[in-house]
This record gives sequence, structure tokens and C-alpha cells, in this order.
Amino acid sequence: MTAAGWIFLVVSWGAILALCGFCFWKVMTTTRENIHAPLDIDTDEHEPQGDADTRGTPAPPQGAA
Amino acid sequence: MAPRQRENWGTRLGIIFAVAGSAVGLGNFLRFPGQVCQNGGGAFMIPYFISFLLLGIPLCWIEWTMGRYGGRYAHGSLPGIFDAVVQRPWAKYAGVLGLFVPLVIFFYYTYVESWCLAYSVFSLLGSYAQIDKPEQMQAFLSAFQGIGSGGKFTSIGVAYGFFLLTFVANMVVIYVGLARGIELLCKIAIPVLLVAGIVLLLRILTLGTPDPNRIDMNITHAYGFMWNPNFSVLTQPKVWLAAAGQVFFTLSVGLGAIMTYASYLRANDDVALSSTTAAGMNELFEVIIGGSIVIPAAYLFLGPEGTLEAARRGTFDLGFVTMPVVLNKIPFGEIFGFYWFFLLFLAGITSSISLLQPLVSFLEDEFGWDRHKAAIAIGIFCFVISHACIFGLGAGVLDEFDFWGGQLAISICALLEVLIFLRYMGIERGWRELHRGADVQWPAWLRYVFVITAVYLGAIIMYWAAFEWLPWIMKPFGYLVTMGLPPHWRAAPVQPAILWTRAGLLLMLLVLLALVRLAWWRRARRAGGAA
Repeated sequence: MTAAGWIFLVVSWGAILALCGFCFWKVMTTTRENIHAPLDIDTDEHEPQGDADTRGTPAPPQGAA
Repeated sequence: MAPRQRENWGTRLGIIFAVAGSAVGLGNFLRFPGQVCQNGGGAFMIPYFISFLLLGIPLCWIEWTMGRYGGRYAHGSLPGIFDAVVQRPWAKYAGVLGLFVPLVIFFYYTYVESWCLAYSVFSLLGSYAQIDKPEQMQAFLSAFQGIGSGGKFTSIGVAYGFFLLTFVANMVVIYVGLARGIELLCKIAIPVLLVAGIVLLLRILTLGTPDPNRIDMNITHAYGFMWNPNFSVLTQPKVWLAAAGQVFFTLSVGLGAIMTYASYLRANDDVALSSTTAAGMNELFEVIIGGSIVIPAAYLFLGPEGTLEAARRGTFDLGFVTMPVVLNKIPFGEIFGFYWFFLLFLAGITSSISLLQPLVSFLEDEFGWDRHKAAIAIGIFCFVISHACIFGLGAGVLDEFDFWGGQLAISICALLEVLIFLRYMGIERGWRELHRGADVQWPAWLRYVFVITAVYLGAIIMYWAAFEWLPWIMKPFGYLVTMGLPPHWRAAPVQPAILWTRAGLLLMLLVLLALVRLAWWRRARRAGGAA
């Protein structure tokens, strides 16, 4: 194995391990442990309550067939 | 309409592992190493990582973002998600590709997955322990598949039995549900996959020089064969296309599966970090584990020419012909053979269950069916159609399903997703949507990467369409097309079985379109009745 081969192996593995390490560190250190979907989804289709950022959010589909 | 409860993920790791499980499949362990050694070794990683950053990650972001957005309107499959984003009548019909693609892939993927389960059992039983030549292993495989004679099997019965087992296992997971089925399986399978992969990797690393008479065939040279860069290939477009294709197909984008999984998130749950984490996990399995097992192991026993030849013969040969022969030659080969094929089986089942979820979600969300009813209906339909792949393997039916579902439609579906995201959600709002409730803030200038992604993917698809898809499409009609300047063609035998397969796939696409039409018609009628 040449030096260039080692460099490519180490850099490739290192980049992926760094990406995974960073992501999992962020995932594990965030406070919310559990995620839950809303208990009820109103299929009458209007913007859900408590939706903080509605800027530019389109009107819901009208069921055009 | 009374409020209806959708399923939800139990934990955040659950959805990350489920999406990673969907992406990690046979391609990570078999296709990737073959591509690397055929396309410049370590130098291949340059276009590979560029494609990962410009194509892979942005596509994952788009799918997670649009999926969660659709979930806010109680849509978990592509017709509904496109309808919610685009708000034009045509959008839901475009989204039918998000049902067609996973369904078509599932038809044959489960059968291939069952080969992995079968080979893991064969390995433990020593069924192919005496085989030491690839040609003999090829005969063993053909006899097992029922398309050849002279091997250990006299009929397709054993293969069919393993298919039934695998199919039932898939259906049980889907039937049980999202958190107790898919999530639980992935939370067990992904760590097991990681441990089994590391065990195999360590075994390969400690093989040293297996044949004292061939000191050049040692582990250092084996890794050199895989990783020594050949920079001259970087001027060849085919290498860049191979890298882009590998990244595209490994991440399970364009299937609709990731969108469906993300639709079960809450409006303010993170997707920016979770999507990147799942993509990173896929790379870990692909580059570090997948890239360290097959090719180095094959090199130690087959040498450089034999390994290159095995890689050229394709993914299936590498997995089911070359690897069993290689594993037979190492001490405790039965155990490591079992490990290897069970690893492939786990990678397969975590992918195949994700293929069914868009269909389940479609029937639940758009028709109001409960999960059990949807799972049973889809199970019966898939079971019937899968037989075309099982018994038509020798006639090329499985390859035809793979072409239309796993290559052509999936690429078009991914391109549609990007274009719809750019046109109807827009870069600014899309970027805000990606970062709604995010646990990480990516640099704002990265938002323009979506434009590059669209151009990149469009260019690749144009190349594939001209040089790969057109020749494939024309061949069964009796024309061997060769693209060039000028293009030319010559006559070839017409293949009726393939033409009938295409007619069947077209019919299925039409049925799915009709189902979408019916679902929205019922919705409009309900809305009218309520008013």
C-alpha cells in the first residue's frame, strides 16, 4: 500500500467518523429524548395550531381532483 | 371528519436508525467496494465525496423536510406530500412514482434478501463447504435459484421456502406497526449489523498472508489494491457518473421511504441534524465496513486479476459466488460465512420494510384504512406479484423490475422531488422549513446547494437516459442501440417475456394512478358532504 493509499484511507475514514461523531454527539446531548407526533391531526386541513413559523406557508390543499 | 391519530416514532434514535436501516443495504457491502476497485481505488473517493456533499446530503434534507411538511397535513406518501406542497391537481399524480418505485423494488428485493438468509443457513450447515472454485459456486447458486442444473438442488423448492420465511418476516414487522415493528427491529438490527461488520473487518485484517507461497497476496497489498489512488481516471466522465450513481442509490432517496418516515415527526421536531446523522451512518457502513471486507478478502485468495474480474461480474456474483468461495478458505469459515450472510440479511430486511411503509401510509392516510388491513392487502398483492421475479428470474424479469423501479423511475422521482422543492417550496422557505425546530444550524450559504443538486441530478439522468436507459428499453423490441456519433442500431431477438413484464408494470402504474384519483375523489365528496 502506497503512502497515497494510506492518506486516502485515513482521510476517508476520518471524515466519516468525524461526521458521525459530531452528529451523534449533537443528537445525544440535546435535551429532548423522546419525539411524539401530535395526538390528533385534523384532516380538515388548515394550518395546525401552534405552528410558530407560518410565513410563506401555503394554504392547505383543497382536495382538487 | 373526526380527528384521527397517526402513528409516531417512540424515540429520536428510532427514526434515525430506521432511515439509516433503509439506506444500508446490499449495495453498501457489495456494490460500493466493486465500484471503488474498478474506478481508480482511493481516487474514486474524490468524486464520491463531492457527490455525497452536492447530491446525497441535499437530497436527504429535501426528503426529510418535505416528508415532515406533508405529515402536518396528515399525508405520509408522495401523492399527498406533493399535493400539500404543490397544491395543483397534477401533483398527486406525479407523486404516484413514490408508490410505484418502492412497490416494484420490494417485489424482487425480498427474494434477493431471502438468498442471504438461505446462504447464512447453508454456511452453518456446511452445504457449500467443499466448493473452492467460483465456477462451482456459480453452479450451486444457479441450481438454488432453479435456473441451472448440476448443483446441489434439484428444484427451486428450497429457495422458495426461504422466500416465504423472509416475506412473512417482513409482513410481521409491517403488521405490528411503526414503533413496535419497524423502530424496534431497526434499533436491534443496526447495532447488531455494526458489531457483525466490525467482527468481520477484524477477521479480514488479521488474515495476514494466508498463502505462504504467495507473499504478495497479503493484507497490506489487499488494502493497497482497494485504496491506492489512480488519479488518471479522474478525467473519465464514467468515473464521476459511477460515483454519483453510487451515492444516489446508496442513500435510498427517490423511493419515498424517507419522506414517509419523516411524515410521522411533529412539526417542530428536528430534521436538519437527524437527516445528516442517518446519511453519515450510511457512509460509515458503506466506506468503513463495506469497503474493508469484500475486496480485501477476495484479493487475499484470488489475487488482483481474480478480484477485478469478480467485481466486473457485478454485485450478485461478488456476494453469492466470490465471497462464499473466499470464506471457505479461512479458518472457521462456516461461522464467518454465517456472519457475512446474516449481516447482508439484516441490511436487507431493514431496507425492505421501508419499501412497504409508503404503501401502508397511503392506504391509511388517503383511504382511512387501519394498519392491519393495509398490511394484509399489500402483503397479498406483493406476494402474488413477487412470483414473477422468482419464476421469471432466468427470463430476465427480475432485471426488468430492477431497471424500471430501481433505476429509471427512482431517478425521475428524485429529480421531481428536487424540482418541486425548488419551485413550490423555494430555497428560502425550504431552508427555513429544514431548520424549523432544528438542533443544528447549517451555514446559510449552503441553501444554494439545492440548485447545484438539481443541475447535477438532471445532467446525470440525461446521460443515463441516452447511454443506458435507451439501449435497455429498445433491446427487447429487437434493437441493439449503441449511442455514439452517430448512434446506430442492429437487429436482435425480440423478447416477449420482457415485453409482457413491461405491460404488467404499466398496468400497475395505471392502477396506482386510479387509486390516487379515487382517494381524492372520495376526499372531495367527503368535504362536499361536510359542507
